[in-house]
Amino acid sequence: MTHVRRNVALLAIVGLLVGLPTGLAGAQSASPSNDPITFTIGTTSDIRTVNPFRTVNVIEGWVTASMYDSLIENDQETLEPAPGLAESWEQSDDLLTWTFHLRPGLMWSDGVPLTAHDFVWFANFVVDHDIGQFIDGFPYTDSITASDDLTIEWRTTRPTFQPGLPGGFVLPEHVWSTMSLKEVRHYDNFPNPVVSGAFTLSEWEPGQFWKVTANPNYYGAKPNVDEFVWRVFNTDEAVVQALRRGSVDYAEYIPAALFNNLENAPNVTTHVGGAGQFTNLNFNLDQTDRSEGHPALLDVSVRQAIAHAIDRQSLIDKILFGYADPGTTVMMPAFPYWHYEPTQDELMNFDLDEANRLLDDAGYVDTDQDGVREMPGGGQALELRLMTVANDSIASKATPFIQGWLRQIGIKADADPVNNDTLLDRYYDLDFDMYIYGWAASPDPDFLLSTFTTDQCLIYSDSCWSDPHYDELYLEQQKETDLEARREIVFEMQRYIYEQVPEMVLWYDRDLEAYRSDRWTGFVESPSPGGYLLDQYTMYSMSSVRPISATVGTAAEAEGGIPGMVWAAIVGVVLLVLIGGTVLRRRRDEGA
Amino acid sequence: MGSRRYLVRKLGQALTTMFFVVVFNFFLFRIMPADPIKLLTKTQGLRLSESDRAAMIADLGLDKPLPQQFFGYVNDLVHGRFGETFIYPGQSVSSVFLRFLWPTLLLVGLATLLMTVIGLYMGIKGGWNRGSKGDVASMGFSLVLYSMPEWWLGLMLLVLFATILGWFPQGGFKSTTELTGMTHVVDVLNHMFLPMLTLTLAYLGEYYIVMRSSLLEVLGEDYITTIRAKGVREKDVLWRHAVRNALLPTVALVALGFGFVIGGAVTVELVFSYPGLGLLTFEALNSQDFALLQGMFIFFSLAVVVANLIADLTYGWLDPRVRSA
Repeated sequence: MTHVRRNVALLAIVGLLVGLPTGLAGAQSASPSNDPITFTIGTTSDIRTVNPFRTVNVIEGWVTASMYDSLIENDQETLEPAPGLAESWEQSDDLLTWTFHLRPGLMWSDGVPLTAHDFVWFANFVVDHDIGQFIDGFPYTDSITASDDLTIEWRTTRPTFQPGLPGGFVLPEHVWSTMSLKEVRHYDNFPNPVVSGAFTLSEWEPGQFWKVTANPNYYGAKPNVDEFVWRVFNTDEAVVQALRRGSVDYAEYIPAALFNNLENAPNVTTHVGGAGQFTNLNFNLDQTDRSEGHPALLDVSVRQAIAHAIDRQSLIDKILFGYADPGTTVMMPAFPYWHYEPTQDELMNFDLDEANRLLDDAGYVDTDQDGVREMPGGGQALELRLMTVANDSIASKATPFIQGWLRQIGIKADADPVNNDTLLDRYYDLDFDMYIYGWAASPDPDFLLSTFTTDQCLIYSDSCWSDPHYDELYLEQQKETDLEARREIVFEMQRYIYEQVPEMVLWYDRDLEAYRSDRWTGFVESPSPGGYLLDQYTMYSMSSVRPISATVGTAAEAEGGIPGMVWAAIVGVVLLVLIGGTVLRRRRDEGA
Repeated sequence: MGSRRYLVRKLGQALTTMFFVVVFNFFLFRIMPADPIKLLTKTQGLRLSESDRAAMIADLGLDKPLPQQFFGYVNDLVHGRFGETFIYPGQSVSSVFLRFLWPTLLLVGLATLLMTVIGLYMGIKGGWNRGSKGDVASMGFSLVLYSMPEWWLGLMLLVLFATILGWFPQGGFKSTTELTGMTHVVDVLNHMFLPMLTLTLAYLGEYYIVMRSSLLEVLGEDYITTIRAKGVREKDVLWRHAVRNALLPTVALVALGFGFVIGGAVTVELVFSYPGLGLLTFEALNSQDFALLQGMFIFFSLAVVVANLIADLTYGWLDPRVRSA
């Protein structure tokens, strides 16, 4: 009798265990019909901060750009300056004052009016504290004042071109101005950031995902999507698998090999996006005693010989499956207005004979017959260290090709793979000969061109190149207020850099994008043609992208997994087997 | 009396070990070749003047003599101050650490439970029925899994169950949609299932093999023959007399394993994009976040020391001879 009673009790427990979660799961899964429309982006980079004073990586730039509008934005097609928070701006007749007129009725996401005083506070904070990330937006500043709530006046000591990003960035004075510099740098800006842009960061699980939702107080058009979610994965493979499964809607910076495989995937559309980045080969051109670089690199003929000895197209074909454009000048082709393409005469094509001739003429001869040239007059051999970031697989693959070509012109290149922080340390110590790195730029050329000036050595300069002629050109373009005239100077600067080879642009990387075309439509390419589908210099696509039909499920619902009922059933069966087995055995033993 | 002295001795040993860990942890990070100011400012776009630099060094306490720095560091530790991370600017080491601790504890805890129960049970069955088909099959199965790198096993499971079959999510700890109550629990279970399965399968063999050989050893001892001769039922010979003694070596294995698996879950967490301590360690190492690494080292050491202590105490409890030794 006791056994029977015990069995009944056990069965009751099992029944409870099985039934309880099932019932609860059933009750919860009846979702309301007004679910937000969610667009999910798969990424391998995580955000670490949304404090604009601390953001470093590209993905943080995208998120903060969706949260904060600038005075001046970029035109969708041409990326030329277009109205943002400011609806118009003009320069005074003496060319020393820029005046910006804000849109009336602007509001921060917390409902406080956004006025000229917010910008004035932010700009003066940047100028007073010499904040590296933003200070370049305010060259030759004399004063920045608000003449009324809608008018900003920026007076400079010299005439200067129209300011682009990042100078037009604005932060809310009522949130940030109460803090000291130290507090500003330590401010989380989450939860409840006060923003001016189309979206605001509403949820953030570091290492997992973050979510931006539409800002109801935004002046522009209401986006078609209620929220964008970035789901963090650790590998590109995982992102691509998730896209195939439909648990993410969009991915970018997909490695070329994976991208090739995606082209035939059902319901996925691939897109070769804009070339707003380049990968370059940098030389140590510092001329002071602190430099540990090879002296031969200071000779322009050696650098030109190297430029002739590297077959960019074959690197692109062999390593990047053709998804890049051969590099020439330093402004990327994604910015067609500013990009300068060298003429046929100026082009330094792949030509090993020409490279050898250049080195012969400059007196670099292989005196000891070991296959490596020596410096003119004998002495130091042309043995150069080629530093790369070890986990940058593209740079690692390019290294043996470059070594092979350089060997054919009598230069020995030693592979020197290090981690990214070591690379930066070695850069600051000037303890390198050559390294492979890159730049992503914003539409206005000023910043990228500034990195080649003498002042930028050990700050943003890749090579510590110092050339008085170039420095002069840089100041000239900064002072030039006529757009066409400025473009002529910018072209000349690019041509000069190309000829002097302080660094060599190997290729322009294309942003390889893919999205779920069974669910989404309405992407607006920017710049157009040849631009990006979603990760753009402005928020055009993020506002315009929309679901194909209201009934098609979005990625957020389809993350996968077995339902609660099945889980409960599995747990129940396991318990049944365990308990049932024990009971049976006990009964058998006692019966025996 | 004996047990109390045993307890005090073991506690003393654990504290001594922790003291050395703390000392080592201090000097390890002082001899790193990196310049902390360079590390701190590199990612901040700061242009430092010499006086700013000096102020920062003073702020970090790096201008003080080494012994004073050491006492400051011990004082901070005692008060639970681990400093500030710089991979998550502005956030304290403890807050970042605690956020990543829970997923790992859940994953490693459940996996350890599963691998222990299943592994030991298989080991007992295998040792008892040595040479049977079941024993040979379990042996082969667990050896193959044990010798596989766990990230590879994880990758295979991921491709099969997440990509091809689509039964489980691609990775992460939970869905990005807001879920509450039981649906949240089920969602977390679904996300955790594949990494948990990977860890369980990968380490199952260890428990199986140790338990099996330990049981075989015990079964060969004289007292087993004696009790069999006395006519004790075979079932009681196994469960009451053999298994209890044979379990001793596995106690250490379980305890140490738990301490070890927290670190060992790095590769599994990477494969499944699982936001736990393994992933955090990886990130911290990648970005040379020394403050975070220092805090995590202390915790990992503490985990192993505590696990050891628990193993020792369990030993004493299971086998009274240990206490008097």
